[in-house]
Amino acid sequence: MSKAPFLAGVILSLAGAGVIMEAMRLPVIPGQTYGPGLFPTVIGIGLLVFGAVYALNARRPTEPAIVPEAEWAAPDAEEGSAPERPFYGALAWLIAGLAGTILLWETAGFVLLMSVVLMVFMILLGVRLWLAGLVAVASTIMVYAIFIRILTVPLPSGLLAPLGL
Amino acid sequence: MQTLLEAFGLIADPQVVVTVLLASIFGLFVGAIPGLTATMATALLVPMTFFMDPLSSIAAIVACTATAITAGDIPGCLLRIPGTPASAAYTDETFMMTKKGLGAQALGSSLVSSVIGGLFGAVVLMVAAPSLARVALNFSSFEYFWLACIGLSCAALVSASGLVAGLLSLLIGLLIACVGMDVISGSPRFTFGSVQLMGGVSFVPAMIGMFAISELLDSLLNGTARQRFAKPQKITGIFHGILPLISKYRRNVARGSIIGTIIGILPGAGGDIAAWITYTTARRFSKEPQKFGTGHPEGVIEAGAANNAGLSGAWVPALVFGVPGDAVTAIAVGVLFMKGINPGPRLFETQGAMLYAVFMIFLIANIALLPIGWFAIRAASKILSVPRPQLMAVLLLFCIVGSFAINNTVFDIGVMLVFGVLAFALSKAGIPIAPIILGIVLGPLLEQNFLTSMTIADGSVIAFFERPIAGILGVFVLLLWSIPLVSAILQLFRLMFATKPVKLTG
Amino acid sequence: MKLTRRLVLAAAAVFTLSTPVLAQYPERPITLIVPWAAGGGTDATARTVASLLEQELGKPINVVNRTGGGGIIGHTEIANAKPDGYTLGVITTELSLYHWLGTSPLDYKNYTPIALYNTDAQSINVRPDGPKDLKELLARAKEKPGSLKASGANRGGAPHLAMAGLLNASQMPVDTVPWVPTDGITPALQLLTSNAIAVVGTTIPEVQAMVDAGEVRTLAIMRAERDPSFPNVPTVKEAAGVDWYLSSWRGIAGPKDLPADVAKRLSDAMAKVVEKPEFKSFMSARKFGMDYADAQKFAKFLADADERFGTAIKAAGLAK
Repeated sequence: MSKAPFLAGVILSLAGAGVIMEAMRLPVIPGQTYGPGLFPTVIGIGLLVFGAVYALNARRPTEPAIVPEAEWAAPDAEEGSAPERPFYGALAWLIAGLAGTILLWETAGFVLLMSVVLMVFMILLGVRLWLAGLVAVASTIMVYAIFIRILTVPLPSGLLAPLGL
Repeated sequence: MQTLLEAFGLIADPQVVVTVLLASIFGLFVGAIPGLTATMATALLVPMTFFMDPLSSIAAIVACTATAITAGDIPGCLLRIPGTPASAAYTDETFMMTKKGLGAQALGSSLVSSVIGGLFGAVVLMVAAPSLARVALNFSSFEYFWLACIGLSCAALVSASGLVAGLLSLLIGLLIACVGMDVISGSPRFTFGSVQLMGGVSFVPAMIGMFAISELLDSLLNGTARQRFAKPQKITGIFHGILPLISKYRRNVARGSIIGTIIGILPGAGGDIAAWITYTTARRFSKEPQKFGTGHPEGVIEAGAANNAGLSGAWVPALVFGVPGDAVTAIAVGVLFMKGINPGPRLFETQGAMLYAVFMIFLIANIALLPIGWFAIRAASKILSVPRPQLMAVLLLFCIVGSFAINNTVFDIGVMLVFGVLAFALSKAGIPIAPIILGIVLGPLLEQNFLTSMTIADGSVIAFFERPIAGILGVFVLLLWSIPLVSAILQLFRLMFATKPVKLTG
Repeated sequence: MKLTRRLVLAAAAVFTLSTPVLAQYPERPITLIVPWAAGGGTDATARTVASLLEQELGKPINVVNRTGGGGIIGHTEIANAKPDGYTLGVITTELSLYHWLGTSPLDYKNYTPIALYNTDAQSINVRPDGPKDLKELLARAKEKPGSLKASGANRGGAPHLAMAGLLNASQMPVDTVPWVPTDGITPALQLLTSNAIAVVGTTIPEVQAMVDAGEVRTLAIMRAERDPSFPNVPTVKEAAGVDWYLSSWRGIAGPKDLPADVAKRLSDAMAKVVEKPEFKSFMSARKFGMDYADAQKFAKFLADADERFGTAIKAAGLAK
């Protein structure tokens, strides 16, 4: 069977062991039978045991416990066009863009950051430049306006602050 | 009867009617935006209520909450971003229906069952609020502990991916719930020295990440990111496609309404547990349990009814004892006080007409939900015809803003990203996501009530069975657990003996 | 060359444009952090103050509940916020306790006080079928130590401390009435009414609805003299002859080193807020004690409270 379930089981099992070790270090509270370490310990044991069981099950071809992922993709496949190759570029940009968003949130500001992140994301997925730009800028400004004015969420204006946005 | 007539007079006021209408539309708007919650919609209403008369302000909150929660199902169903922990119980089911082109039907049937559940809950509230509230006050930490156990068991039992996968998912959720400052002892756990993590993992960003971002990642890696999101949605008339479905599953509607009302009355996580329990009962008593998880409306209808029935239920302890069950009623209690209406049993005597008027608003808000909700569903279903790259980009935008807005901190955008990647990896390995949500919601309830009970009982486990209700719940939980345990042991035996023949055939 | 010069000019223009903006504080929405959950007393007062302060300042004020860890999370976040006046918070009694209990190094010196707007005395509450007065409660506890359990907040929270202080002042060991830690007053009341514990310590407004409902009875209030809003509730001294009093407090503050003009603008606005009829009617409707102190007096109050609570904690044997 697929490697992923086996691997996940092993990782979760190891994580369980880690959780137990961390839980042992939590303090004991005087006057209480059980301290803050109890629940993490129980959860750790659970992860350790069931992670192992899951990994072992995954290796057994007799255990058809896992619902195949194919069912998920089925409606897409029925559309007639077969899936294209993975969009690694867009994926890398998505992760990098989100990391950049977190780092530059206050300095660059919401509108600037989001416009760039969304525009490049769309271009990498094959949307034409002008359309990607238009959608990115328009939706960002609209969301910004709604959240600032109606929902009173303090989104940062950043570099574009002088424009009165 | 006199008070009922007076109450009618009170709500006939045009200001009240207009307020209900406007608040419904506002709730719809906020609820339908992915990542924004009913609590946020209600909190935003509070400053506006200062300029309203008492009845209008409560009417506004009631109407706004009901529509916001129902509208919260729309992004959950169409785009896989659940609006509330309760709707996470059936998000994947409705999303599967959307992929099949039945999104509008899924939403429509959940809308109608929600309205029926909501009406049922409101009527129960009118008839029996004071006595029900008194019953709710008999629940101590012992009973709450068992209830949390039942809720958690449901998630594992209902998992379409098998018991072990469900349990693993649940354990991950419980572990996430442990992160942060432990309420009971005040000691930080798994925070790795981060002050941001002291408050625990924020729930909404984690939920957005696990459902929406992981879906996005999946489509990019699958190479489906440029194809149509789902089949074109079939929009049937409400009387044509939906009502027959509801009448086919009328048992589910009834069971969902009753269970939702009962569990919703308990202050705390009542409404959320109710949705999960009813989704499980729907599957347990269904004639076609194998269809669950593949886009089958039965569980959605039952849980939808429970969801809205529980919503009215949460007002019972709030109105009778001033003990709010959730964040929304907490805000409402504050507004009531502001308007000089002090919650308490005397409210039923001194301001009976007022109170019954509030109950009637419940009825009106639920009925108004039908046309407003249906309009929103039809409008929202059109979103799916937008080309996928553009749709995903705008979705990403809302995910980011929604994650940020819940606590106004950038840290939560990071939480969203991390959980998106985690959930993507887990679903690749066949581990379901929904039970993680329940684990996060019920983890604190389970742990705090266990530790509190242990302190009260001086460490004696027997105390968990000594109180009558706790005893019944406890025995029920043990029975529930013994079913899969026994079958697992049997299976283990079978596997042990089956190993050799497999080798022979292989 | 020309381009760089233009850029420099543009940057300079941006810079000069943005400086005078600072003078008209506030120019964007303000976040008000509440370290306690929505629905509690602090949250209710915060939302009222926020909405009225909003009218004074002309910019929206968002109430953000940052809960957990007995309020440490929220308090820490207020203290760590950028001191630009756009992140303020409600600070509460617990701030006078953290550093004594060793749960957090935070104390009042980490903040710029703006205004104190409320103080409430702690009270002792039981079920209607419980002890008839405080004297009986203490006698029962002394007779069978550990038989009566109390709750109302987390370990080391103000209600816990008030209880420990009361026991200490009555010459009893603090574990005579063991404390059951809970996440706030709602679960504690639920435990009391469901007969799982015998005593709830909290401020009177928190239990008012339950008292009206006949589900809870208040035995005594921890004040030096009776509260005019509750003339029928005896003080601890009257009820049991024990000299002990303790009040919870709430106020608005910002992080340390808030610009003086911003602090003044806020303090002036708060002075108007506490005079507003909406504020007064809200506070009296919910029976919150109205006690206002301006920035300077609030600073003095905080220093004094810190000292008094420290003495109480040490006496109760909880100090780290």
